[in-house]
Amino acid sequence: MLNAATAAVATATACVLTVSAYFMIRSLRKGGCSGCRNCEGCRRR
Amino acid sequence: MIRAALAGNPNCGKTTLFNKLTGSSQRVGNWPGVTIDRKEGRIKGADAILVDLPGIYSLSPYSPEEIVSRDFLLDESPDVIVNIVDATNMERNLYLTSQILDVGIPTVVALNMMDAVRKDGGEIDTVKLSSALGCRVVGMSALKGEGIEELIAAITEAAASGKVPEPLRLSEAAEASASRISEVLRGKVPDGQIRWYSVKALERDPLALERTGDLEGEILHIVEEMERETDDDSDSVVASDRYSAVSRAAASSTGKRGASKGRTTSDRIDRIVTDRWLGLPIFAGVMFLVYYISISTIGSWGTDWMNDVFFGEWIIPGMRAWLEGASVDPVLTAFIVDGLIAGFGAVIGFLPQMLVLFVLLVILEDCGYMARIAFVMDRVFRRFGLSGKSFIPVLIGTGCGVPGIMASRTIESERDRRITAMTTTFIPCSAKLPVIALIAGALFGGSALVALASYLVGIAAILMSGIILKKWKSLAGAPSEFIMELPAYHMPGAVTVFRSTLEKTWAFVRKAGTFILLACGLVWFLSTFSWNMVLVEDVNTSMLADMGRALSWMFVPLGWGGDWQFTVGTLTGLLAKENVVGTFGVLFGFSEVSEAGEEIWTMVAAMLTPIAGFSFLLFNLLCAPCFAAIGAMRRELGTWKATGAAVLYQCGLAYAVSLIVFQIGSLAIYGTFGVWTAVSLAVAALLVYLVVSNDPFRMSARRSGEVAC
Repeated sequence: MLNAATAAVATATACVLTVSAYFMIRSLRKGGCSGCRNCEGCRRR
Repeated sequence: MIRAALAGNPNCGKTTLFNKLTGSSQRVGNWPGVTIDRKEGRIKGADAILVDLPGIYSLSPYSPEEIVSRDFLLDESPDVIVNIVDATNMERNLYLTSQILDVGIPTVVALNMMDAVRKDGGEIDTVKLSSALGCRVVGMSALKGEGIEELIAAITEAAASGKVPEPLRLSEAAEASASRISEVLRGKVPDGQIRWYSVKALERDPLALERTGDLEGEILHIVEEMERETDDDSDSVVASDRYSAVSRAAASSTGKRGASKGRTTSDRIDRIVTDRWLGLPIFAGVMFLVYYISISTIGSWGTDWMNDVFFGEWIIPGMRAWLEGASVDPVLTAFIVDGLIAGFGAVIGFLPQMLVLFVLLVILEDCGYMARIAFVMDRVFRRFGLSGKSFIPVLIGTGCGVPGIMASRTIESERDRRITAMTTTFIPCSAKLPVIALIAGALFGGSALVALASYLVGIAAILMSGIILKKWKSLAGAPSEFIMELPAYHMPGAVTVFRSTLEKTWAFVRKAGTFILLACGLVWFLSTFSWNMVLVEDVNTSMLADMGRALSWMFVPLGWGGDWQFTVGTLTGLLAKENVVGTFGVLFGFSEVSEAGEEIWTMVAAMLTPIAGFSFLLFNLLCAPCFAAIGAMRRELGTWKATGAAVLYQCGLAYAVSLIVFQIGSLAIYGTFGVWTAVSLAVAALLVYLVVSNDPFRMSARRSGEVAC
């Protein structure tokens, strides 16, 4: 049986990982952009 | 809405001026080729859009940058051209101006770097120059923000008046021929561009002649007549006339004193730092100092504090105690502390070293020294059959391989471009630096020589690949010509250094919070459970251990295949190179060693000999880059087949170098000799043969180069 603390921490962790995955996928869709502003990608924005 | 185009020579401060005029923060590089494509921004305080074009020396269609700029000016006819001119090198820059004045568009000349001219004791009369060029000239300094308001006013005024400048006069013969060609072209090309097409056709410009259609024969007849009259090629006549005209214009504005008085401070420094013999040792010394400060001293103190105090005393024990106190499930606690925080923390622990390194590299770039490195390395690269242009992507690749590979597209020769795209990632990017720092700290007492050696090996791998790959028919050919301006040295701007460092640091942190965090969560999961989803007591019985062992036999001859953790680290490094360190953080229990006041690298040191550690480092530096860089290679090489071949070449070379270093190193240090030692000697002999054997395409490449010249 999960206690309330475990459920809350698990939810928070899942949120953090989802946000992290969102930014990772967004970066991959931009060709693995690390935001270093060296290439055209950043200049066009 | 006014549409203005910003055009100028490479590295004359165009992007700095663009940022000042538009208030944007585009990447500024103190070497040519930063602007590969055009970009747009709105001018502050004016109803105008500014288009920044790539840096060019002329409007001839010889390079992709020149074609982009020329097509924009001719086909999209902006309302105003803002021609930025480097005042410290005015005559060379005015050559482009002389061509821009032919295009038939209102023009404003932004005479940049006037502060540097004044500092060198020179002076330029902008009123006289304006009268000589027939267009408004505004003296300014983009770096210091001087003259920006006046320039914006001049742009608005030029657009409102629509006054087209008078072209610079050529010699009598050239003017007469251009005038005859104009008559032939009347009605065939836009009226405003008649002068441009006439002079370009006179120069036998292929793209201009192409647009004249069936009139080409008639035009060439006029050109040949002029060539007979002047006893010279028409393009040489026009180029010479342009130089005479800009020389007169420059002389009228600088008077007797000239733009500067003789040898400048930059010239005096360059005599030493670009010297044929001293240039390379000075470069090696500077880089050693950079790594000594960032990895061995100041940066290292910060990293120790991050690991021992920040993570070791505060974050990890605090988080563990809090989660345990709240009765959170022990598996979830372990996932957060030993998986996510351990992996993230192991990478972020290196942030202080990265921060110091970024500051120093930005200072070197901003003050102008990095451009000298490209110049010094051009000499070396040409000797090995590569163009010095290939070193610009390499310099950019020290930050991140993706833009480094993309920068290879500024190289005109397709063969040079392909070789550069294949080899740029041999230079350690910032993501590989934590791996270098980890191995240096674990096995070499934090010596800066490890970082320096990594860079030198990267450069050597590029040069060696240049020689070897040029012997393949599809990649053979003479190196491209490389021309670059050396910018005057100046004190690095605090804002530029701060902003560039912040951008690089933020990129590092963002990657740690995305790629690394998720990968470490996965590594923790795979290293904590067995195939039947049961928690394992011993990590060696986990799923990850089985996966690692399935491949680790391949790396036994390299000295680090005995422990599957290193194989896993290398594989996760394909996602992002920092993952090597993050994976070790999870697998070697960064959370536990930090709490115990130990460094993560004590665990690594216990499992590897220094020579095996160096072999591991070299393999990870030279093998296939991260997936993002492989994707960038695919875009530049065009096909997955070519990309696959490039990745295979990189992995093969990495394997060969690591094998040689480990086996011959072990023979030299420990006196061990075995089958793999013999294999490594054979591989070394093969590499030497590939490097020194005759290049079957060299003569033909030279011949074609001579014809092209």
